[in-house]
Amino acid sequence: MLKKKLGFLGGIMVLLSLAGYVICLFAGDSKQLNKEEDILVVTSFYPMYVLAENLTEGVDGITVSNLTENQTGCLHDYQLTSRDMKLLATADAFVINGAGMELFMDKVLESHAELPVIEACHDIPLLEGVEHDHNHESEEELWEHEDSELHEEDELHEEHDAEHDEEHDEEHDEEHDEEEEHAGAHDHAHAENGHVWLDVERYRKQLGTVTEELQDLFPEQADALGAAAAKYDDRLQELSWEVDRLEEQTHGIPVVIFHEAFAYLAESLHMEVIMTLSLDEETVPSAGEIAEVIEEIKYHGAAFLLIEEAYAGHAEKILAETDAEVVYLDPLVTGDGAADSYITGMKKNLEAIRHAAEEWH
Amino acid sequence: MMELVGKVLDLLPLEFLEYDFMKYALMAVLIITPLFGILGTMIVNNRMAFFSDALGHSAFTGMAVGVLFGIGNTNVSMMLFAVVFALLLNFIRHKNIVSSDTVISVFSSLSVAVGLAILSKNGNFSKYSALMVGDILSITPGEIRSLFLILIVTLVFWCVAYNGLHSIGINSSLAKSKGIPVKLLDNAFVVLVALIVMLSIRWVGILIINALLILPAAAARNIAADNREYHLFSVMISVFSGVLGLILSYYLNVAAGPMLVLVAAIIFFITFLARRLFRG
Repeated sequence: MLKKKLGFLGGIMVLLSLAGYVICLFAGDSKQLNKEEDILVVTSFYPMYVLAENLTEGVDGITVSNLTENQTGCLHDYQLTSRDMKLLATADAFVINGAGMELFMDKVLESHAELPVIEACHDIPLLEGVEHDHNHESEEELWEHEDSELHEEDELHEEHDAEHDEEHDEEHDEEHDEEEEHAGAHDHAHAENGHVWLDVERYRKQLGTVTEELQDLFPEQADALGAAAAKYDDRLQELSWEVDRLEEQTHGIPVVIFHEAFAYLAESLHMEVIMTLSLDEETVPSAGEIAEVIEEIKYHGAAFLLIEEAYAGHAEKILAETDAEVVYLDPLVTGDGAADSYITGMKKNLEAIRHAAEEWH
Repeated sequence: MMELVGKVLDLLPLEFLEYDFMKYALMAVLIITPLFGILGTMIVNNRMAFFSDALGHSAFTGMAVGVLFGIGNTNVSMMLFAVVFALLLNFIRHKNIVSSDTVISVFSSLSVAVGLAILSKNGNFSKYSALMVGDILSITPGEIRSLFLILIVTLVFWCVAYNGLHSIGINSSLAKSKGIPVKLLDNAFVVLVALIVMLSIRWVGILIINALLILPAAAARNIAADNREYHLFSVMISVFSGVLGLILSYYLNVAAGPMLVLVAAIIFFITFLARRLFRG
C-alpha cells in the first residue's frame, strides 16, 4: 500500500514538474536579455533610461536596457526581482541617479561587485528632502518645512532667492519654534531630495557626468557618445532658456508642492516654496495633514499648488478651503519610452506653469 | 560549511544556481520545508492551524516593536515578540475561559492592528509591504545558519517529545494523568513554531506562511494511513512544493512564497480527490 501511495505521489510530482516546465516555456521571461555582442548599459529607472537613450542614439555597439518597467515611477520601495539580478549580471555598466533614489543598491553591489556603477548625481548639489524614512531604525515626520537650503554652495542659486528664504524662515521659525523643538528630540537627519532631473541645468550636469564616465569605460565609442551627448545637450540648452524666460513671470510666486521632484522645478523658476508634502506613489496624506496645508496656505497666501494629476482629489479638498490654484505637473518618472519624452514632458510642465502665472498676474 | 554546500550546488547543471541569492534561497528551502512538513503534522493533528496563523500575523508587531526601539536587526525583535506572543496565546488557550478560536482571533487582530498602527505612522507603510508577500532576495547566509540550528533542535525535540505531543493531541487530560509534562511540551512546541515562522516570514510573506505549514500536512493526511506515512508524505510534499515553487518563481519572475503555496495547494486538491482510492 505504501508503495502504491509513493508511486501516486511521485506521479503527481512528475506531472507538476512537467506542467511547470511547460508554463515556463510559454510564459517565462519575455524580456529579452542581451544575447548579442553589444555593450549593455542598464539604467535604474525612467529618467535615467531616457537620458541614456539620447546619449546612445546613433552610437553603434551599445544597447540600453531599463531595469524597471517604464511605468514603475520612483523607486522608493522597489523590490528587486530575480529577473533584475539576471539582467545586471549581463550588464557592462549600470547607470543610476544616486542621491538615495536607488535604495536597493546594497543588494546589487553585494552580488555584482565588479559591475561599474555610474552615479549621475554624484557631483550635483542637492536640495533637502522630506524625510522618506527608508532606514528601518529611525522614525521621522512626513512633514518638513521646505527651506530651499542647499547642502553645498550652488552657483545655480541666485542671491535674491536666498534673501527671500531668510525672510520666510524668520516668520516660519517663530511660528513653529515649538514644533521644531519637539522634532529635535529625535535625530533630525535630513533626507536628500534626489529628484534632480526636474531642474534642467542639473539634468544637463547629469548628462555630462554619465557621458564622461561612459566614455572612460568604453573608449571605442567615446567620440560617438560625445556627439550624441552634444546634440541632446543643445536641445536641453534651449529648454533651459525657456525656463529662464518663464522665470521672469514666476519669480517669487508662493507655492505648495506635492511631490519632492517639483522642488527642483520650483527652484529653477525661483518660486517661493512654502511647504513640501511628499506624495509619492506610496503615501496618502491624513486628514490632519491636509488641514495643515490649508492652514499654511491661509497664513502665507500660497498661489499655486504644484501637484501630480493623480492626486487631484487631495487638491480639491484644499481648493475648497482656500483660493489657491492648482497646477498639474508631471514628475517625468514614467512614460512611453520615447527618447523625446523628457523634453516634451518638461515643455508641457512649463506651459502649464506659464498658463497659471499669466492668469495670476 | 556554507561554502561547501555552495560548491556542491555549483556542480549542478542548473542555470538558476549561477546566482548566490538563488543558492541561498535553495538552501533555505531545503532546510525549511522539511521543518514545515514535520511541524505541520502536529499543527494539523492538534487543530492549531488558526493558532499558527495568528503567530504569523504577530510578525507585524514584532517588526514594529523593533523599529520603535531602534533595534537594528528587526529579526531579533520579531523572534522575541513571537515567542512571547506564542506563550501568551498558549496560556490563554488553555484557560478555557472563552472558546479558543475567539481568543486567538482577538489576539491576532490586536497584534496586526498594533503593528499596522506603528508601521503606518507617517503614511509610509508600503515599505514594509515586502513583509506581506515575501522577498526571496532577502535570505542571508546568517539566517541559513540559524535555520540549520533550528532544524537540528527540531529533530532532537521530535525524537524526544513526539509521543508526548501526540498523546496531548489525542487527549490532554489523559496525557497529564500518565505523567506527561503537558504544559512544558506544549510550550516548547509553540516556541519552536514561533522561531521557525519568524525566520522564514521575510521571504515567504505573512499572508501565506501559514499555508506552508498546513498544506503539506493536510495533503499528506488525505492519503496517509498511519503516522509513519503521514510524516513521510508531509515532508515529501513540503520539500517538493518548496523546490518546484522556487524554480517556477525564478523563471516566471513572481514572488517565491505564493508559488510554493500554489504548488502545495494543487497537491492538496489532487490528494483530496484521490483519498478514496486509498481508503479502499
